[in-house]
This record gives sequence, structure tokens and C-alpha cells, in this order.
Amino acid sequence: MKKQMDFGGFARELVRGAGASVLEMACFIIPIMLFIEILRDLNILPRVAALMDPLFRWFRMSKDAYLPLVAGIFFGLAFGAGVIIQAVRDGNVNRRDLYIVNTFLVICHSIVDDTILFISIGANGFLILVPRILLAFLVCLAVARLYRLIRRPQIPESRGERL
Amino acid sequence: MKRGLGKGLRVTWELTRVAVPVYIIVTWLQYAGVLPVIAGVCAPVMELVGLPGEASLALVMGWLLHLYAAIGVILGLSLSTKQITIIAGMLLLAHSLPLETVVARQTGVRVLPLVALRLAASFLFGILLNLGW
Repeated sequence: MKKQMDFGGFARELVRGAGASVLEMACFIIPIMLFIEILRDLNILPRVAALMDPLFRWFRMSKDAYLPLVAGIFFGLAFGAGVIIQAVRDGNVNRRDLYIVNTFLVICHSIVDDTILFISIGANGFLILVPRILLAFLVCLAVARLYRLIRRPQIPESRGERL
Repeated sequence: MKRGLGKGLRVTWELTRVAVPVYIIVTWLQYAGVLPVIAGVCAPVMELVGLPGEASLALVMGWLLHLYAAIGVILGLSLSTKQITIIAGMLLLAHSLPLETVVARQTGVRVLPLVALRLAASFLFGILLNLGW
């Protein structure tokens, strides 16, 4: 290890690395954000949610939980959570549905923008996206089927119902 | 359309604001000889997922803060495509844990199992991809 820090190398690396990386990432992020916002404006989420029925049917949950799930998958956890809270208020989303949707979303959310972010710094898009979706799906399937076993009966279901 | 452009610029700016300072600090740590020490300590665990010890910093930053900070660290290291893919996948499965946990809790679920699930999934992904690539 050198005692004297190499300041010239340090500065050169900073300017070259930071400038190039930021530009490169901007080239990915800005178009994708445009695309996402256009999708949001077109209000196609309910239609996408309906399309997912053959898959989501496996979870045996209320159809009212489809929209929050799709919203979170594409637009992020916070947006999804907002839609969930709304759905709990005015739909028949029960506690089991909540667990399924949340389990899916913590593993797999914002699949467009976050994935693009990492592709922009050189990751393999397929490998960071597909296993993530598969895993979310499998774990959710397990939660959906085993919910009765996992749930602890002594804990009152107050939180979910209060919402 | 305008909103999308604005949002894209805002995300880019946010990313720049967070990632560049982190990148500068990491590069400095490297030049000053601090990072190699941290790396040495974490190397045995990181070896499991095929990453150098330095990358542990990116994982921890990603878990506790957010992806942007982790990206700042990644930019400061020189990783291969395989390594970037591994760490990207691991980070996508588990990131911003404090913040996202609060978000999930607001919907009314117990969140600790979810955090454990994310970390487990993250390492499982890292180990499998490292072995399978």
C-alpha cells in the first residue's frame, strides 16, 4: 500500500467516471420515465390487471387485490401501497390478500425503472428481472397455499380491518 | 409527456446528487487505503456470491439507504458484467429496507418476515447465479 495518496489519479478517475456514468444513466432513465408516465396517463392498469387473471387466479385472492398488485409491480411499492390502502377501504380485500400482495411487492416492484437503472450500469437485464418475477410468484403461491398454517390465530386481525 | 420528462430529469438529478458524492467517497476510500481493510473483513462472505469484499459496501448502502447510493458505490468499483449482474439482482431483491418496510407496514401486514424473506432471497440469488453462470 502506498503511503502517499495518488491525487492526480484520484481526480482523473472522478471526472471521467462520474461524468460518463451520469450521462449514460440519464440516457436510459429519461426515456423510460416518459414511457411510464404515458402508461399511467393512458390508465391501462385496470386492463392489465384483468389480463393477469389467469396467473393471479392461482393465488385465490379477491379480484379487488389485482389492481394494487399490478400498480406496485410497475409503478413502485409506495404507489402500490397507496392503491392497497384504498382497496382495503372500499373493497373486499382481506388480510390474506394483503399478505399475498405485500409479499409479491417487497420482492418485485418497480420492475421497469429499477431494472433499467441497473441495465444502464451494465447488468444483464434478463437475469435480474426474470428470476425476480419467478421468485415473487413462487413465494406468493406458497403464502397463498400455506396462509392458514402461517397465520397465528392468537393475533387479532385488528390492523387489517381497521384500515 | 411533460410530466414524464420532468420525472426522468428529476430521477436523474436525484441519482446524480446521491450517487456522485458516494462515488467520490468510495473512490477516495480506495485511494486512501481504507476500503481494502473493510473489503478484507467482508471478503469471506462475499466470496459466496462471487463478489469482491469491496462490494459489501454497496450491499449495505443499498439495504440501509437506497439503490442510488449502492449504484454510487458500484460505479466506484471495477466489476465484471457477471459481478454487476449478481450485485444488481441482490440489490433489487433487498434495498431501502427501513423505508420500504415502513411503506409495507402501512398496509397492515407484519413486516419482519418480509424483510427476512428479502435478505434470504437476495443471498440465494447471489449464490445461485454465482454457481450457475
